[in-house]
Amino acid sequence: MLSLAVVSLTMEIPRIKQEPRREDFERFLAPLLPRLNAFARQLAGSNSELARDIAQEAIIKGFQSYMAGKLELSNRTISWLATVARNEFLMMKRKDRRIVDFSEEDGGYEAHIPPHDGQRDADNSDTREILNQALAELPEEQREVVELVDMNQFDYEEAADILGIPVGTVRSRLSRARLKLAAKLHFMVNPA
Amino acid sequence: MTNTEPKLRPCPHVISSIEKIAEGSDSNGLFMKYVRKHVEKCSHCAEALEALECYQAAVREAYSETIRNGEKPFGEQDLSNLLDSLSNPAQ
Repeated sequence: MLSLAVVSLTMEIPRIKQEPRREDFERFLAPLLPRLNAFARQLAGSNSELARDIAQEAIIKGFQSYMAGKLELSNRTISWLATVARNEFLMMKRKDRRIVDFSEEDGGYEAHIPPHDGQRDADNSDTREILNQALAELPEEQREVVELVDMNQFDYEEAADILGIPVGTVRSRLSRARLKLAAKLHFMVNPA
Repeated sequence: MTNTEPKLRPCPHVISSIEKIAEGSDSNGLFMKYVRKHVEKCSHCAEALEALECYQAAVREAYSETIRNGEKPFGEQDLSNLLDSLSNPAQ
């Protein structure tokens, strides 16, 4: 009896393949837009037009792949879109040398962190400024991982997919980067 | 990077536990329990752990602020318009 139950639980449930529909894509993607926007802003720094282009290109490619049956709407879709967005950014950067990495700009992150009012926000803004300054000083490979996992809340597997590196490498880079950032933040806030 | 940069200096036998915590793989909290016990008597490790926790709080705050208040280069209306144009290229 028990073995029958186990067999029936492990049997593959046939999936009904639905025709891709624009409405389904739009409904699925709308809640993901804040994350895609945040990631595009992170890549493009203060260049909001570039951020828009990157996000738009990722969505176009996502939609075309979905309609062609090559992209499923799942919890991996956001990392798929982020990978396209990142590749698009790298390609644009190669084509146009005027597009610089945000860390090379004056102010770095500051450019795309929104301004706030009030004392609490002023304190948060100071901390963010320090954090951004510290982040800009990291080696690129560590900064990328922090941007994805800490600043954009991608999980380790998603970050590994986006960067094309093993999950173990994501973990080790993240550990080194977080400890460096923690130290910088700590000593900037509490000078020795 | 300069040599004069201040550094966190956790005890050598605690470094790997702190690295595991920083890595985020301490899902059952064993390393954290060990470090918490140790930091009761060690100010260097207490400082390292405190720095890591402050960092984690700062990035959480930065992320939620960005999602809440950040510019939206591509909004829902933009999405709708874009999909319209892709679905009906003649328009």
